Order: sequence, then C-alpha cells, then structure tokens
Amino acid sequence: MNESIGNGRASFSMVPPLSKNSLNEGYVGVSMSKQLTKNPNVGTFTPNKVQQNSFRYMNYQNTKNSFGVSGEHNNGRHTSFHEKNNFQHNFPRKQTPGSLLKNVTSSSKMLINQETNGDQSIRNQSFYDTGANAYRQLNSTPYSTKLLEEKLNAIMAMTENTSNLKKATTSVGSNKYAKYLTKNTSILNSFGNNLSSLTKIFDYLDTRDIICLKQTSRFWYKISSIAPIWSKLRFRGLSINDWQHLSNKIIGSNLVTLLDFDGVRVSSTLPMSNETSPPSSVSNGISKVTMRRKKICAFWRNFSVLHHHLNSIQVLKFGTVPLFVIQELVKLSESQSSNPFSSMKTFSISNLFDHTKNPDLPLCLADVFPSMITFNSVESLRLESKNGFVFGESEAEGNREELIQSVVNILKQFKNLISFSITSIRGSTSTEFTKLLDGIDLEKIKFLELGSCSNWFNGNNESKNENPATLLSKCPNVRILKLVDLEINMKSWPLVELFESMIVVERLTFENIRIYDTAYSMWFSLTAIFRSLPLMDLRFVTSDAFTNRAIFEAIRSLVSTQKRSLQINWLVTVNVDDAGHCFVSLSSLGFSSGPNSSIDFMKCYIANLRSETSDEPLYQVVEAENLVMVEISTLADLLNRDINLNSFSRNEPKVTVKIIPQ
Amino acid sequence: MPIIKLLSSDEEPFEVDVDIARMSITLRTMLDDLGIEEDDGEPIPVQNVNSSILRKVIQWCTYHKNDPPTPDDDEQREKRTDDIPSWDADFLKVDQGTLFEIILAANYLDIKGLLDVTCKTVANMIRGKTPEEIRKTFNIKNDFTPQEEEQIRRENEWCEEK
Repeated sequence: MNESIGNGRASFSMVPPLSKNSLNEGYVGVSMSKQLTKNPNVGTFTPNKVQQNSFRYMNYQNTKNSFGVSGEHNNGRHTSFHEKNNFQHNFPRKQTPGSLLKNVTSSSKMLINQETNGDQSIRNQSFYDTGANAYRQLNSTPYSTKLLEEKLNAIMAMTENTSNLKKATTSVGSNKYAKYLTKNTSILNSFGNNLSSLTKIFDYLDTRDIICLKQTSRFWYKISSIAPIWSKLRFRGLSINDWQHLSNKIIGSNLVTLLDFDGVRVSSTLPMSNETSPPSSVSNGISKVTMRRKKICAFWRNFSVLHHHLNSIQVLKFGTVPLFVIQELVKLSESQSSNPFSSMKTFSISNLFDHTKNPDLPLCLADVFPSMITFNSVESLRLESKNGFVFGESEAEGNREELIQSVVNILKQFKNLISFSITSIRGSTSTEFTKLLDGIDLEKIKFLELGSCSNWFNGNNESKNENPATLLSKCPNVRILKLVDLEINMKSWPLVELFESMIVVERLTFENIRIYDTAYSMWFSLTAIFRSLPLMDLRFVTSDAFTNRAIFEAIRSLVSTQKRSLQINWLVTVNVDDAGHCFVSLSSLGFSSGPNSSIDFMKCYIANLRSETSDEPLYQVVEAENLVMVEISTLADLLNRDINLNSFSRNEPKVTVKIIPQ
Repeated sequence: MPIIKLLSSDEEPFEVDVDIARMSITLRTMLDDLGIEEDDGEPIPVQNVNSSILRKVIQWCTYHKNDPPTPDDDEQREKRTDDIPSWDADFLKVDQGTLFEIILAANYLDIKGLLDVTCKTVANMIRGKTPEEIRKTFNIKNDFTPQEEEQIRRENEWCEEK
C-alpha cells in the first residue's frame, strides 16, 4: 500500500500536457490554494472559508454544464486537492461518488497507518472535501478520528488511482500508437479535416439554405462563399431570374459538379415567351394545366444558356421538365466532337412531360429513349413522368414488341448502370417487363425502383422464367429496392425467391402495395423472409382495408422477433372524421385460404382498447363491410406495444414503427 | 472478443471491443499498419477527443456495431436528411457544443456513419430557415453594415423570388 502511495505522489511531479479542461480546473484550484496559504492551520478551518470554497466549486460546475459536460462532480474536488500541493495533474474523470465510497470501506486498514502521517494529510483532506456536505459536517462535529479516517481513505483511494494512471501516462508518450499517431498527423491535414466536416454539412443543404446562411454575418458570408460549397447547386425553393448570372458568375466560376433543378420555382410573374408556342391539342379554352405547362416551358427555354458549362457536371437532376430540354442536350452533344456528358454519373428526371402532346396522355418510351443514349455513361438513371410511360402509341401486337426491343437495345448501352429507377410504366404485361429488365446488367444493380408491378402475377399461362420477379432474383447486390403497385396473390411465389436472394438489401419500399386475401401462405412466407433480411428501413404505402390488415399483422410479427434495429414506416390512407381524428380502415376478416383469425384479431387487439380520456374514440366497427376503423395513434400504439419488451437496454437495437397519414 | 484500451485527451481509459474500435477508420488503419498484438495493454491515445465525447462516440459505435457497412458510392445516394434513425435522433439530443465536438471526433476518428448523422442533424437545424432564424438558432451576431446588406441583396437578385 505504502509503495503505491509513493508512486502516486511521484506521479504528481510530472507535468502532463495541458488540455482545455485542465486549464479550467487549474483556475478553480489555484484560487483555493491561495486561501490555504492564508490559513494553513486546518484545525481552525472556519466555515466561512469552506463556504467560499464550495461557492467556487458550484461556479465550476456551472461552467462545466454550460459546455454540456456533466457528471464531473468529483473532478473539481480532485483538482483542489492537487493544487493545494502545487501539483498539476489531469485526473481520470470517471470517478463516481459510489466508487469512492467503495474504496473508503474496502481499505479501512490503511487509515491507521496514515493517521500518524500528521498535518499534511489532514490538510489534504480538508481541501479534498469542499462540498456543502463537508461544510455541514465540519460545522456540526469537531474533527473526529472517524471522519479523518474516511477522508484519508478517500485520498488513499485516489492516490492509488493516480498511480495506475501514471503507468498509463508514462507509457503513452512512447507507446507505439502515440508514435504512430504523431507521425501521421500534420497540422494542414488537421485543418483540412475540420474544413471537410464543414463542407460535409453543406452537402446536405440546398443552395437556398446556403444563401440564407451567407446573409447571417460577415464570418458566415466568407465561409459560405468558398468554392467547394458552391460546387453542388440544388435549386429547390429558389427561382432563377438571371440565367446569365447563374451561368457566368456561379456555375462558371465554381467547378460545379452537381445541378439539381428538382423543386425549382417557376416564377409566377414570368413574362410569356415570345417564341411561338408549340401546337397544343387542347384548343378550346386554355386549361390550367396548359397554362402551367406554358410557364414551365418558357422557364426552361433559358436552360440553353448553361449549355457550355455542362461538361464538368457529374450529377444532373430535373424535377418537372419538358422533353425539349433533353432533346436540346442531345443536339448539343451531337454538335460536338466528343460527348460533353461522358463524365456524367447521374441523370434523373422526376416528371418528364411533352408539351406538344395532350397533357392527359402517357409518354411513349420509344419516343423518349433515343434521347437518353447521350447519357449512357451514367451509373444512375431515373426516368419518371406523372403522365406515365407506355412503350408506344400503337397497341398492335407486333409493333409493340418492336418498340420494346428498341428501348431494350438502348438500355443495353448503359454499361455502368448501378442505379435504375422507372416506376411510371403503365399497362405492361409481366412478359414485357421481363424483356425490359433483360436490357440491364442486373448483377451490377444496387438501387432499383420499378413499377408498375401490378401485372406481375396475374398472367394466365406465363411460365416461371418469364416473370420479372424471377429475373430480379439474379441481382444479389441490390441494397435499395422499391416496387410500386405490387399485387400479391396466390401466384406470387416468384417473390419468395426474389427476397430470398436479396442478401444485402437495406431499404425496401412497397409503394401502393396490394395484398389479396388468397395470399395467406404467400404473405406469411414473405414476412418470415423480411425478418431474415439485413433491413434497416422498411416502408409500406397502402390504401385498402385488407392490405392494411395484412401489413398490420406483418409488422406485429416483425416487431416481436426482430433482432436488428429497423425503422418501419407505414404511409396509410386515412379517413378523417368531423373532429379531425384520423382513422385507418382494417379488414376484420382474415385471409380466405389461411386460418380465419378475425375473431382473434378483434379479441387480441381491438376489444381491449380503452380510452384513457374516455371521450376520444379509439375505433369503430363497421359490421356490414367487415371493417374496423382504428384511430391512427391507437394503431401505432398497438404496433409499438411489444417493442420495448424485446429490447433489453437503451443500447439494444430496436424497431421503430411510424404510421404516417397520407 | 479482444479488448483494446483507448485513452481520451483527458486521459480517461476506455476499454472497448476491437471490433468497435475498428469502426473508426483512423484506428482501423493504425491497427492494421501496426498489427494487433494480443493484449499488450498499451492504450491508444485519442488525442483530440475528451472523455465525455469519447464516451458518446463509443456508445454510438456499440449500438451500430452490427450495421451493414456504409457504401462509399455517395453520389448514388440522395442526400436525404429525413432518414435519421430514431435512436440516433435521441442520442443526438445534446447541446450544440457537444454536437459540434462529436462531429469533430467523428471526423478525426473517421467514423462515416456518425459523421453523416451528426452533419445531417446540423443541416436540419439550418434547413428552411430565414437568415434571422438561423442567427437565433446558432446565436450568430449580425455584423453587416447596411451597405453590405444591400450589396448581398443585389448579389442574390438572380434567384430571389420577385
């Protein structure tokens, strides 16, 4: 014991590197030691002094708290003790009052030896304990041996700790890790690292937000003006009044690599373009849609101003955009000796429209796709239209096949594709879908969004090989999968194979999914497979009552067995009553082919529902339609009910379920 | 599982699973370069991170140790900020000073997932606000002169809603 004390003391004379915390503590400590020099006699320690000490101690705590560091209670004490001895040392911080106490009781032997150590120890002790409790103790009882014992032991415990620390500290300086880190740290890199975390934040901001930040103060004006921040332009929420300025002053001078026009504001007072407006098939009275389209077209006529800056662009994204913008890009690339878009990685359109066509009609993929070939270097292709896509206008069988083939041939030239998104295809059969997917190198694909999948399982005589789901089970690298309008029925077995093959999928979205009451075993198997997938995010978008019921049961089963942390989002169509309560309709009937569990369902989940405030309606049963309408937060409670039972501690990964009304 | 000792800047030792320490690319590279010897007891000094932040970082890494590795093909992913898992959102309900220190620590230790989620959190604090609201949130003092404000206004005319 004595030896360890000796070691501990010796370590105090070592001057460790100063950190900002030690400075802080140093301040508190120094002021205390001053007091001590004024009054070295411990026996006459006056309450007044102690009070002052504890006041400072409180101050210290406040300072700490304002930096958000809590639980440093003991640290102030340690420091005061050391400062008294004119030692500067950083102490281990994780010293809870509990552990101190334990040390005190366990080493009660020690105190007898120490008692004789005299004056010095007593002084140490009195400065060790400067809290309000000590003040009370000092006031009420004269220094008893017992108290002394306790204090001494506390000090012993701490010196022991210090000696352990000393071993660590002395070795750290010469330790291989420290050497390695010193060797591999450079001041410029450190600055660079901090700057890179700053630009990382800007990566998540739209240009509008950066402009706002720029207006807050001089400092932020300067910071937000640096080039890397302006290399990615996202125009959401901004309008573009001066395309020349954008072209020359912003894109031209900042090495822009990303242009995202999704959500750009088409200014409402935009002067009508004086170009002859394209022939519109709607002649009798200009509809709102046509007016809007005209405005959008007039806006996009300016896009050609940016053309000569586009060859450094790696990511080009459009929201609502007329087809002519894309066609102009194609012309641009044809007019140049080398393709200006050969370094493009991402090309995305969320709503393509053709202003020359009737706004109610879908677009023909066979018309659109030839333009796309300009962007065949991309890794990520997204093509959507609110009008929807069909393969071609002609519905003649032979012709249709030809059109599909032409699309597939173009798609085959996208050799780098790892992300493909097309969910607006309408009315294609599962055979046609299979053909389309044949144009993609499925083994490379990591992100896939497809739709409409409604016809995948309602063909009559289609062989298994011709199903898109079967084909998709050949893409083992898919991490994000979204299937739109998927219908699950008793013929959906290829889906089981598909999801069994998805060994790395993290995010799964079923938009507008529909589950039929014949699909009991199918849905049961699928749910079991979902459980084994490395999913982090599972999303359902539903509207009909039976599907809701099936999803409810699937989520319940996932929640109670899931081992990994998983976020489930369920976007559901709701009925809103007069008082503003949202109700989700669920079928009270179970699957027709499975065990009829409607009674259990009502008994297990619904019948026991009691409102705490009594006047809030939790559910309504509509017998005639075999429906039960459950209030949305009640439904969320039902789903979340067992989650906490499953997780053992706060640190345990857990499932979270969110129901979002749509 | 082998244990490794980390030493925070204020010299508090932390014992963590090697697998958790290896979630930091900085530490992983170091361990790989030096080769891990069985329990030589030498602590790794994490120079730039104090104990209260290191404790948070270790807590985050422990919770996320089984996450699939984050892919590095960043451009493919949409820069979404609405996908912060709820555990992380709770975990990051700390004051701005702490959040800032966690970002610096995640950056220094090169823990991509933690850096992403903290940066998203800060971005969400900025997103959609007016300059005045941003000043309020982050306690920024407006030190522009009226002339400068006018100049900035003109600079932004190209994109302001008319």
